[in-house]
Amino acid sequence: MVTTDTFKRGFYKGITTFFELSKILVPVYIGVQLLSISGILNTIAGFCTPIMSVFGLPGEASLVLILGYFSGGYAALGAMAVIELTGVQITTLAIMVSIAHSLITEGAVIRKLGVSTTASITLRLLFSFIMGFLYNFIFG
Amino acid sequence: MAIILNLLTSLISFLWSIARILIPIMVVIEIFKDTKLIDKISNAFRPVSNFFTLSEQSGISMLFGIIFGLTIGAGAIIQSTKDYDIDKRSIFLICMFLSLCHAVFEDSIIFAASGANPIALLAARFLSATMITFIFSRILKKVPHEEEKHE
Repeated sequence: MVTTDTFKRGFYKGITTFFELSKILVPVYIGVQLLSISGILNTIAGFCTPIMSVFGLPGEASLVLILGYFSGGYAALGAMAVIELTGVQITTLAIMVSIAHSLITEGAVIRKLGVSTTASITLRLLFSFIMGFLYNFIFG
Repeated sequence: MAIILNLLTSLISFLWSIARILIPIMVVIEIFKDTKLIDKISNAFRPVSNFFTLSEQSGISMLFGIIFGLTIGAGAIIQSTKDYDIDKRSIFLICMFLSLCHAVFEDSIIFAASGANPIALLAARFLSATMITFIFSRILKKVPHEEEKHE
């Protein structure tokens, strides 16, 4: 039976779970934003430029990946819009970013469940590289 | 000053983007429970749970994660560990799957809008997630009698 109690219970559980998650989301989110604002991400992207050709991508694409890995999918999309890419390159980048994004924030969420953040992040980066490489290898 | 303000606005909109999905989902889960619909969904999802050798009550959290995202899936897991006795092994396997494959609709749509091939995206994510979760599920042995434990 669905009663008003059902809604009250759901709302209460939603709020408590939200606050439980916020305890880790807020500090981590602020940290990542500071990393982005301080220009550190641009520096890291600079180091990664030479290896972009492995995925059939131009050097500038490193910033898209780094922003995606650290900040998230939307940040990567923003960066993607300003560089010139072919259809295959766009899909390669989208595959890589959709598999691995917001690694620090989502890693913290994984940690909250008692699962290894390192395992999660390693797996995501590994498959981001493998799938990006394969897609370009097959369709590029 | 402008930077701090910017940071705060983006933080609030980030938290809002989670709350506005998480809270309705929790209400929906309660409705599902009270109407016994949750059993039907769990049943429909059972082949997937069995394939990955997940415990019964955890399958639904995985489904929510695939559809609504890792954070929402995690919220559902946190909540369901309070209601049921979900083993660590299932949580680990779900986390591995969801790490690679979550929020599939939202992600596919936003990337497709910028010119990516959504089928390739979905295929790459589902393939890698299924492969790795299957491998882990066969390596990690079920602890005997774990499911029989009751608080």
